[in-house]
Amino acid sequence: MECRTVRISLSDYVDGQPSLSGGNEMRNIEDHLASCPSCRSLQLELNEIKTAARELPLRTPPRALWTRIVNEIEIEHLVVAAEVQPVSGLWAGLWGRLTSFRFTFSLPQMAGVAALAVVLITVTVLNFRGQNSEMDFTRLQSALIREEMTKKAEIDRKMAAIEERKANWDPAFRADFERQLNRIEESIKQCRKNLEASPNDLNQVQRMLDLYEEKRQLLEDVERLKW
Amino acid sequence: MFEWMKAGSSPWGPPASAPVRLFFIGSLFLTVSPLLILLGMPLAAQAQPFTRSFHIAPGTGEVEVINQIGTIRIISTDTRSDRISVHAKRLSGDSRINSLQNSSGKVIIEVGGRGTVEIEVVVPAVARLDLLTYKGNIEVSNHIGQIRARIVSDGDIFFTGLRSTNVEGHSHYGNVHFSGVPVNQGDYRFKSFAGRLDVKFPSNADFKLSAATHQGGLDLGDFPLKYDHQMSDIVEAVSGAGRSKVYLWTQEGQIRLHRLL
Repeated sequence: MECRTVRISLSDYVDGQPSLSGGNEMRNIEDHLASCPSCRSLQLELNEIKTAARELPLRTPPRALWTRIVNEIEIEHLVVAAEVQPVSGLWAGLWGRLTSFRFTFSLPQMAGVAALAVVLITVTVLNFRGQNSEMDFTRLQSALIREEMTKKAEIDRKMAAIEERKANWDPAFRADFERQLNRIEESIKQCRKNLEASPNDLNQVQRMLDLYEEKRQLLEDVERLKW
Repeated sequence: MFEWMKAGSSPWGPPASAPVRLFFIGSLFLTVSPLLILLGMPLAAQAQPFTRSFHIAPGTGEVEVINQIGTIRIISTDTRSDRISVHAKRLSGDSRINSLQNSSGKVIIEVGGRGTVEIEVVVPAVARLDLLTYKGNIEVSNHIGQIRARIVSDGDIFFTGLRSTNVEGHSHYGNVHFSGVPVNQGDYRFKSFAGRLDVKFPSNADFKLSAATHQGGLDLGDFPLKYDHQMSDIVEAVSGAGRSKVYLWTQEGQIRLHRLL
């Protein structure tokens, strides 16, 4: 298996996605990881991110971050709603039978049922709200990790293309480019250290994403200059 | 000097006759003159300004400028103008300037090779601009159309008197200056890795701010901001109803947001 193919599936592999477990792909990835130190280091990095993300407590994210994933969550909700819709047809028959049935209750019976309903609704709502915020936060974390992975993959692709041509560049341009890249890399390293020290700091996660974006953009600009 | 010629003698041998002297001078002239012409050609080409003009549909226009080293200056004119004009000057080096208009009407100006070139483009104020230089300043004033300006290494960006709804400015080492009105529903993104972001809005500007700096500090002047999120280096705040979005990011530089006087 080639590094490129493994890197595409690595995120799913680390997440233990069922799409990989069915075929030989899982075994092929494992074989490749055993022999390729570069991909293995990427796998370790992904595991670290996953572990760090799991340890994050529930917090209100900064609005800029939140806005970014709101659309994604809404789309997921729409997809789930679309999947649920056909079931309503099944219940239509039952509902018809229930409405045509005649119920007779005494007043104490009705009061008891009402009280029980209020308790059940309250418990359900409270429980659902807790689960919901936890679910949203997990989604936020996974969205951030996905964004980081996407950026990293694009950076790797661009970097490989630049490495091929870099030898022909003007030495002064090359030195300047490498200086810029090193400065960004240093900042990413520092950011990662800060994140290790305080893994719950979502601002650091945002900062890390900004730095990856800076690096990606630098590579894109250099490609456009056609050195 | 050249006394040996007058005296009818050669410094390398016995005295030469008149035809021999004439032949010698003629050969010298024929050898040296082409050399002088060849040496002078690049200097002449360097000094020669580059000028092109393109026809566009009135009220439209799209320009992409890619320079290596040197200033890019945009002069915005009448929104109904049907011309985009390019004026470039080679200041040093052996750069090549190319300009073309593609099938969709977009004008592309590209500098190749090494050397400093100053580019000035006259565009209708509504034109869409995509400007990139490795080193050098970018200046855009009184423009209305969408702008993307990027400096890969060192150089400052100057945006003055803009009324654009979408402006992006980025310089790696240099500063980004913006003074103008943030338009309703507008999107303004200014970034610099090591430089300063200097933004000036009118006192009644209506915007939602997201600003982050790692080392340089934040100076948000005296805008009546309502803070959603406030730390020493990250701020999310609203001025007015927050009708436009302003995003400022610098890793090492300072962020300054002040009232336009």
